[in-house]
Order: sequence, then structure tokens, then C-alpha cells
Amino acid sequence: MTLSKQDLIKIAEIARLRLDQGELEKLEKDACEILEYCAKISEIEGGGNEAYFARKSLKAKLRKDKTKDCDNADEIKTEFCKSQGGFMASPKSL
Amino acid sequence: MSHFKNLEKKIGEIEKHDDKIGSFLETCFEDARKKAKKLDAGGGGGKLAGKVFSLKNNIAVKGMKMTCASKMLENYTASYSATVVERLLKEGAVLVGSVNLDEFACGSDCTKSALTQTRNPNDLERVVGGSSGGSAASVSANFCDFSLGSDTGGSIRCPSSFCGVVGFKPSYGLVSRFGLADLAMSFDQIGPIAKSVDDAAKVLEVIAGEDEKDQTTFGTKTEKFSQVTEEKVKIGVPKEFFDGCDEQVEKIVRDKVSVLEKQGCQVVDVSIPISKYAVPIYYVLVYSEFASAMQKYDGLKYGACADLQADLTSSVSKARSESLGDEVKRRILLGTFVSMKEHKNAWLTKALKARDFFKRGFDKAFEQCDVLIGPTMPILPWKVGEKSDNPLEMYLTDVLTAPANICGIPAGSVPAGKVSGLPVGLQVMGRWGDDAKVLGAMKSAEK
Repeated sequence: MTLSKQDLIKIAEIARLRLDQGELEKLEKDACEILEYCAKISEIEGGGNEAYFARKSLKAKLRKDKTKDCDNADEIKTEFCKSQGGFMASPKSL
Repeated sequence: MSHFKNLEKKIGEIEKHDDKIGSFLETCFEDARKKAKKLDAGGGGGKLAGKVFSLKNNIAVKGMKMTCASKMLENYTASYSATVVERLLKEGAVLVGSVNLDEFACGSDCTKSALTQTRNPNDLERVVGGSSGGSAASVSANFCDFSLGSDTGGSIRCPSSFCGVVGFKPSYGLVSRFGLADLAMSFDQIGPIAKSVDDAAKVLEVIAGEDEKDQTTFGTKTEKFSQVTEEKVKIGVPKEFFDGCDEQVEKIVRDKVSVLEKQGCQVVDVSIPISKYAVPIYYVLVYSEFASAMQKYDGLKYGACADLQADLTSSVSKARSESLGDEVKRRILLGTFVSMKEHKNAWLTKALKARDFFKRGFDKAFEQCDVLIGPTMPILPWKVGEKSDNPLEMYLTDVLTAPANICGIPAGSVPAGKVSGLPVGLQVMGRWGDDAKVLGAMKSAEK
């Protein structure tokens, strides 16, 4: 299994990461070695089973709705790094 | 000894030695002193009254920093406490501080922390094991009576083995993970690290049981782990657990099995050929779950504040790239790769199916015995920096611990001996839900 630098740049873009040249060189080598080793899972005979996630007997238990006091505006305001005149500053996202 | 004196003794040890060991990231001595004084005055009490504990810094304590040993969360203060923390505090345990780990629990030797370096109290040139390295070191160095770690592929048992203490990973679902920063949701469990099996069992009794905030948990409040006794169990010794194992480690573990046989345990040889695939199955699945779990650290809603770039994507990428370490980036990238639509069937789906096959291989072994015993780690603690440049070599050291997480079964490490002053751990694994039986077998092996 090989992953080229171009592949890694594409994957990094999807993963919201930026890689410098040094990181790319190291990752290319490490990723190829790791994937080559992990490709051993193809050797497993009888692997045509159900996909296993965790305990199969697990049943989702839903919580009952409960009302609670949400009068904590002042506490929430303390989480902002900056405020002025009752307005809160947050990072620009658009 | 009063609770306050016990605490002061521990604080004294921390102040005297932790600059060399580097286990703590944050201490809370004053709060601890107030609580110990209150307990001495008759205020409160409980099953763990006055027991001093440390906490892996990926578990939330309201008002304390929860960094996950990452620059990404260096300044994050938890706004609520994990269920396990609330349960310990309610039973009178005294928190003395939070301890180091590999960044986001990604590592097997605690050298991947972005915040400090933890060293093995038994030999400062050697690694402490990971990822709960600070937890095991703090117990081994007498900085606390017990600690909590988290275990995704051996992160409680590996450092416990390397530090010569007891570590226990409960059955999947026995302990609530509410308040734990997740690494891989279908593998993670919180568990105790302590000086003895009895102490670990007492802590487990307090933290175990159903929690409406973690839907994987089940009710076991009737189970009295603190009353476990030595068990004359039928022990299976898988030959594959010794493949590639250090000869001196193998000798110590086999000698201990002989002692257990003389004590009245029946010992049978078993074979689990599938166990050699533990590392590839484990890592493909962990990469995928970890990449998903890490998406929330975008520098906007969570994590280090993003510098504004020309567009939103650039802001997020910059924050993540500057704040995350090499191993974390490697896992995110490989997790993204194995989960991509064009690669999913060849990697992720195949690994999920292999997990089912793997689990059935262990179920079959448990038809012949009550518990499986082998070394916790195949090798002795290595020198700091020795495996830093070769991630695959580091991953391979998880080969004996990852199976318990793949199967969701209980497993614990108990000290079995030493080689040139370096501790060797013996691992006991049991069927899912047989936590008490595993603790009983560990107690027999502890003698």
C-alpha cells in the first residue's frame, strides 16, 4: 500500500490539516509502513461476518425529559474572552 | 493516621520528587486540605474516605483545566465533572491533582504529551508507559493512594506494568465515560490504578454502574468488588501471547503461572491464532473513530482559538495544524483515509468484520478456561526517545493489551516480578462481565 504526497495533501485537506514539507516527508514514509502492516487484516479467513461495533446486546436507553433552571446567563457570559457594554465578542466565522 | 496527615505526606512527596518524575499537570492542594480537615472533623465519610487520588487529565473536573496534554486544550477549564469524579468525591476521596498522558491518549509511553515529560519512578531514564503514564507514575511514586486512567488499547495496563502497580480495565459498559474526552468510543473505558488489587477493587466498586449520561453503561450496583477473594480459577495460557516476548519477561510470567498451579489453579494450554491480528484490527478502527472524535476541535466551538484567515476552512485548518502533535495528526489522517468512501470497504468495513471474527476467537478460548493469563507487555520499559521515530514499532507493543479492548472484556495487570529493577506485569483477562473473577485471579497472582 502506498500513499503519495499528493494523496496525503488531499486527505489533509479533508481532515482540515495543513502539512509542511517536513511533515509530508515523514508522514509519507510512516503512513506507507503502517498501512502495509495493517493490510494484514485481508489475510483473515472467515472475515465475512457481521460488522462488530461493541456489545450487541446494547439497547439505547432514553432519558426522561426533565425541566431545569437555566437562569445562568451571567455564568455563560464569563466564558467569553471579551465583552463590552453587554455585548460578547466571539471569533468571526463568516 | 488522620486523613490530613495522610494527605500532607503525599503532598510532601509530590513537592520533593515530582520535578524529576513529571506526573502532575495541575495540583489542587488547598481544596484537598480543606476536604481532609473536614473529613477528620467528622464531616462526610464514605467507602473511600480520605483516600488521596490523582486523575488522568482527559477526565473532567469542574473548575480545573482539562488539557488532554494538548496545546489544543491548554487553556480549557471543564464546566462540569465526570460521573466517575462525582462518585469518588461523594465517597470521601480527596483529589490532589490532574496528571499527564500522551496527547489525547494517543501513545504507549507518555512521551507524546505536548505539556510535560513523565519518567518512570523505577528508572528515570526509562519511559513510564502510556497513555495513562502520569496516573501510574503518581501511584508508583507514592504521590497518591490511587489514580484513574482511561484504557483504549492498554493505556491503563501498560503503564501499570512498567511502574509495578495494579491497573484494571473494566468490561466495556461497566464504568461511565461521561466527562471523558473520547479517543475511540467503542473501545474506551475508565479504570483504577492502585498499589494493590484490593484498593483497585474498592475504587471500581464506587465508580461502576449505570449512568443515565452514558448509554453503554449497565447496572451493577449490587456487585461488591471490594469483597473479591482469591479465586482458584481454570487458567488458559495462550501460546501466542509469548511470540516475540522478551525471554526474561516470559520466564517471570511462566514462573508465576506455576505458582498459581501449585496454589490449586488448573492450568491449560490454549491457542488463539487470531490474536496476532490484534494490532492491525485495533489501529484501523481506532484511526477511524479518533478522526471522527477530533472533528469537534475546530478552534471555533472547541479548542485553541483560531486566528482569522480569509475563509472559515483556512481558520480551522490553521488552528488544528498549529495545536495538534505529530501522532495525533497521523491518526487523524489515517482515520480520514480508511473512512473515505473510496477506501471504506477495503479498510474500515473489513476491520469491523475482522473484529467480530477476533471476538469469536477469544470466546472459543474461554470455553476451555475461566481466565487467560500472559504478560501485560511483551518487553521491558524502553529508554526515553528509543521508539520516538518509529510509530509502527510503538504500535506493536500494544499486541497483548489491545485484544481486551477489541472484545470489550475485563483485563488487569498485576506486578509479577522485576528484571534488573524494572517491573514486569502479568495480565489476566476474563469473559465480558466477569470483572470480579478477573480481580480474584489477580489477587491470587499478587501474592
